[in-house]
Amino acid sequence: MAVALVALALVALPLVGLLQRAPWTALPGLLGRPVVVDALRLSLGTSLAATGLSVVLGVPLAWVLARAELPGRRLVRAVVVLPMVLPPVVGGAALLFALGRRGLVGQWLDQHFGILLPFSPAGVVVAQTFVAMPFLVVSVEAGFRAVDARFEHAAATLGASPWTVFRRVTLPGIAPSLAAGAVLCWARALGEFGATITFAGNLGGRTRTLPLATYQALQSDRGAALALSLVLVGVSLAVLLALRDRWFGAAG
Amino acid sequence: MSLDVEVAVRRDGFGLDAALVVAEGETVALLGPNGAGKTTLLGAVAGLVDLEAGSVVLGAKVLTDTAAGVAVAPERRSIGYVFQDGLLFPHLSALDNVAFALRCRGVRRAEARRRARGWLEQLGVGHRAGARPGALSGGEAQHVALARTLAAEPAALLLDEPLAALDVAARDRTRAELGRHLTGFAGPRVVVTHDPVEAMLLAQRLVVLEDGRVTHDGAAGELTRRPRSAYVARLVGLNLYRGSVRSGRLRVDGGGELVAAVGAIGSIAGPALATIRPQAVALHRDRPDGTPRNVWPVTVAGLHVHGDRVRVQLAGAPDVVAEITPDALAALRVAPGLDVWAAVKATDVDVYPDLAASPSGSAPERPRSCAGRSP
Repeated sequence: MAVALVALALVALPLVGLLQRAPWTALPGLLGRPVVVDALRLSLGTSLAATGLSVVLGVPLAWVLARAELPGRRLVRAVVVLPMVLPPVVGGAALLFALGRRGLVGQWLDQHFGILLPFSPAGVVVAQTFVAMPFLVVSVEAGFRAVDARFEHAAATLGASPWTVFRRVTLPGIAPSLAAGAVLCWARALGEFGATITFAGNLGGRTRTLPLATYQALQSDRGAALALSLVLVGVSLAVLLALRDRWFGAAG
Repeated sequence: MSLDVEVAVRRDGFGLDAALVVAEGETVALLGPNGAGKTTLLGAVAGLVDLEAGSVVLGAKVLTDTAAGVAVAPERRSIGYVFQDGLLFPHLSALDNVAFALRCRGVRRAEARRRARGWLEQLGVGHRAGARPGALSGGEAQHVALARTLAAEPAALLLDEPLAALDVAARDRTRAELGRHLTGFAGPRVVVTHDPVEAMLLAQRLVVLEDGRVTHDGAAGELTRRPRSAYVARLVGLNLYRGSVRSGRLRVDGGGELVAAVGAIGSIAGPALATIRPQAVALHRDRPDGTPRNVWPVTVAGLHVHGDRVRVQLAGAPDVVAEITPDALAALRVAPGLDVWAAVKATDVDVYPDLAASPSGSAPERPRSCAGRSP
């Protein structure tokens, strides 16, 4: 019992500290500062782009993992979820080696298309997608597994083409998993720090996202840091609220 | 347009080797115990199950032919399939479920919904058009599922245990309506069921599938009179014996002999089957004298009430199930473990040739030689 209280305190106290120091009255002014506005705008744009990219790429990947006859499926799945357990900084470094100006693929992108991902907003999106997409894939793969394939068979016998079956039967079946996975993916992308700063740097207005700006502000402008933190706490709570049925429904 | 099916399916430990021909406008009931391969056979016809070998031909159209490498996709087969629990799409209303089939055929949305409503009306569930499948009763869902399948205007119709999900009251009513709709459908029809009454009410011909093989194919009367397998005998409540006829007697596989009326058995030699109605088996405490030609000692193995009669399971050579009145039960003081005499008149033993057990021995032998209704 006592240990449990200590554990709870360990989780709850920092949040209490943050809220206790929050400059509630000055908050509107703080949120209007260019540092904050820039970070907010950049973070919203990149995290939504990363979520979109994760949906576009992650849903087919989840489908393959759930349905396709795939040799070495376990290995593929392990690779896919690796970013969930990999230290983000290492992920960022790996991205740099792969997609940097001298990187394996980056070199080629630069030469043939003149695309330079590192230290650009696009690089932020790539870093966030790298870290956040596994959350979507895992959720959607479970969704695909839960859809009764017999519904798809029924649709086929009614004359539905494979694409129609996917669009009108499978997709509605995985909709709850897709929504939950996308929300989780977005929250993870929004909070991404390590991979972003390693791969995309910390350039104000270009790659300085909310978490980076918070860290930066902590050294010079505590008020702004607090305001930024509160925004992220607010988002986290909203995500919890949105997913409460999914996570806490069974436990009551 | 007839449906001509001959399929072999192998799947982890299970094998299906079955042939089935259904004529235009004919309903065939596919009967069989669980796991016999009934649903797999329907799946093979609908193109949902991969064949090891075989062909599916509907009219002039070859749907599957493994030898020629033909495998038409399920959505291009024109084979309507009503799945066991209806399988209505849970996220669509009853109306949109039916409209789905029409939309797949390129009908425009408004027109599809108009025609879907017509189908629902025709099946008597027009008032439930707006309901989600979860809100429908079992009978309503079954009607919507049938409407959805018919709306696709298939050339043949497969129904997998269409009444299994219904309660007893709904089943009787729905069965009659289903029979009407089946008769109204022009193409070949196959209904899977494990209820012999349902099979006889809905179909003109019964096909029995056991362990992935067809063990009976014929009219209902033939099936009930002269079963060819333990499963069917149990289904219709007869004692079935497999053995061989030698000098006017049936030597039962597994022990025992049966004597039949001379006229019935005289023309038979070799592998044969015999049935005895449980009502024709008399029980005696002491060895009876007189007319019955078949008398043998048995031990009571079990009792259970069956309507206003009592079914007595008896172990002996051979085993037999007797059906006696409660009065007879009381008079004999029958109880499990008791040794009694079973007596059956020769005229009550129906012997017929076992065509499946031809000398080539191609058909599998059933391990059990006797079957009464099991408790």
